[in-house]
Amino acid sequence: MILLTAVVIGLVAALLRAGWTKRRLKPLSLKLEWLVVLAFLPQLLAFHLPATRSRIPDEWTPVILVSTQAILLLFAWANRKEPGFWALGFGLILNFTVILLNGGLMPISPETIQRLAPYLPADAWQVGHRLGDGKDIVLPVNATRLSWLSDRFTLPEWIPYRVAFSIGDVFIAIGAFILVWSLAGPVRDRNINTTLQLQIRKEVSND
Amino acid sequence: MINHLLTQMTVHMNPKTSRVFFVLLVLVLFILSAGAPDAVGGMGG
Repeated sequence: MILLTAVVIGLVAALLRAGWTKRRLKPLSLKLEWLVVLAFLPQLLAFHLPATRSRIPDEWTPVILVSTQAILLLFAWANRKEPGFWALGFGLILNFTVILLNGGLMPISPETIQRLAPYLPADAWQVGHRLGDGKDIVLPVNATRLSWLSDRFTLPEWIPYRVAFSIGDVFIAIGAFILVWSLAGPVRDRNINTTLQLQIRKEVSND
Repeated sequence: MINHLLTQMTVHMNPKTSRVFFVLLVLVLFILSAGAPDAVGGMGG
């Protein structure tokens, strides 16, 4: 997935940064991490696992997607002071808004599908229906609310990977990169809580 | 509970290193859930 690329690039950059500045990667103090697991598990069953995603009724998927994204918004808000979360949260709000306004799934236009996968037979998708077992719903641009927030972008032809993504995804990728990059940053640049600051000071004095 | 599981899984690892892995894991789960899907992948293609 394209968003995971941002994490990999961020991690490589952070490791180079850590090596260059002779620092070790240091963890962030995230809050309410269990919310992410709570949001991911239903999505894993509904959208990712081939064995289960085809068995979940299409009527359930908008409920699953909207409710789990609402949980993620809560997590992003709880961690808004951490590096990159402004972008992660903003991207999530953009995706959440367009999903909510278009029946609970991410809209994708027939034109984008044809650009993405011209080899697909005409009966592989239907306007107004879910695209395969994914999070998308096929909607014409003129029938899509806030179509500029939908899955409308594709990668250049010279990249041998076909994927559609939204503006929200771009912000999420930026946020992911900033977060991973910050793992190699100086401690003073981070919003860490007092307990962690005291812990670090104690370790430094022990050294 | 999650922190406990993490501790069990990474018992031989430096606590700070395991926490970095944990943050990365949370981030990956977050973006898999928050991001719009890989449309072709969603079709099983």
